Amino acid sequence: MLVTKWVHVPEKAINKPRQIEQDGVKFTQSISPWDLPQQFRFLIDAESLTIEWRYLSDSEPVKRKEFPDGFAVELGKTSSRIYKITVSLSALEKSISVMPTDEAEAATSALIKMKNALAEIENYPNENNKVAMTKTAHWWANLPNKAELLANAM
Amino acid sequence: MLRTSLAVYGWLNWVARGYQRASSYIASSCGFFLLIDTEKSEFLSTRPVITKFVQEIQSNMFILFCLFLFLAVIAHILTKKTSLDVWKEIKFILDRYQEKCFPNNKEKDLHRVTLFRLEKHCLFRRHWSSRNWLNFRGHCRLFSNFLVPVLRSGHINGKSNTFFQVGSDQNYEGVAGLAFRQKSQVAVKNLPDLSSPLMAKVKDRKRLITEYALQTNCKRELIEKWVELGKTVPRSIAATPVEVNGQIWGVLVLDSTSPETLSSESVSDYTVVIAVIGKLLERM
Repeated sequence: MLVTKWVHVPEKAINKPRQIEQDGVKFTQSISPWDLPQQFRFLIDAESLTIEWRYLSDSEPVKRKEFPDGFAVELGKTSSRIYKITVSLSALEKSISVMPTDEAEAATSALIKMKNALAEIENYPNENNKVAMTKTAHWWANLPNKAELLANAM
Repeated sequence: MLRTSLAVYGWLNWVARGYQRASSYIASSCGFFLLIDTEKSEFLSTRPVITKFVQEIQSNMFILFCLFLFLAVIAHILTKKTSLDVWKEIKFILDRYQEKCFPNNKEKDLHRVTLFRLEKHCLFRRHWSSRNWLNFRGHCRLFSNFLVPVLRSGHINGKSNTFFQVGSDQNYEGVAGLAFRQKSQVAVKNLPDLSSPLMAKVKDRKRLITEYALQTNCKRELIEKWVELGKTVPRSIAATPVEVNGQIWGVLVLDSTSPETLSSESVSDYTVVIAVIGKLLERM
């Protein structure tokens, strides 16, 4: 199994304050630091690609939730934050060699799959975390030097 | 209340540590008294008062040993790491956090960091909307949830009795209540100046208070009460939820009398502080 080092998520890139008006109250809102992923890493074996997430606090128990297409997530029992995502490589339709470019592409596909799966879930219990994860996936997909970053992280 | 508890605890802790240091001397003195034979001692034969004193101690030795043992147990409990130690550590963190968030402001009582705890199903909380002692809950329902201040930075404004209703009847008071409801960081700035000379005019006073109440998600009556009592009315407020084991434990509120000092960035820059507070609270 190939385990990469932890990739740091730049908070300022994914948590930009938004101006909100609600019931006449105007305020600046940004995602709670507890729901923002701080780091993530990839674990790749012959069958699946797993993404592990780290938060400010990671001391809560988790539950596993299965999705169709070989996609599974581990959610925090109380916070409903995503701690782990596992995608089968056959579902990704990517063959992974030892080249970091391939792994970066597979990781991008996995994150986009996660983003799409989250978008389909309505009334998600932790909306802030959903937004943070979607933004992280978007940030990773648009990152120009991800293969390089992944090579350094391995 | 917490500050008084901390002071009393600090004093008791000092006494307990002193007793622990002295306990070995006390134990050896007791042993020495047991070894003395008052009838055969030449020294005591000519000193009846001391002889009486030694005999009294020897006859009550069992009770004395029990008393010393009891005190030793109390001292051990007091000197152990307890939740009050955790509060002391959190207080230290809040003070440092205040210094980092407001580096150029010397008046510490005007720029504050306050930790609010969520208290569920409160029965005896006297709400600000209460008009008499019998109806202490005011317009709140029985067993409402409140965000209650537990700790504040600095040494001047240590006490705060402002608490906000959250969660009951979809009522979320204040910026703290808003952060609690949204489960996210919330900041408001450039709030109206309620200490300006404009407040002398009745019309302007009403307008400013209404505007302030609207922008801070509070009732107008509450702000009027604050102004009447001469309380420090902040002009910028930021609130961040504090979590323990994945659940919201409370809210950390930064407020300042300066209209532009606080921003979301200044709060998010110190997320590690919030993480440390959460970790410390997990130990309690």
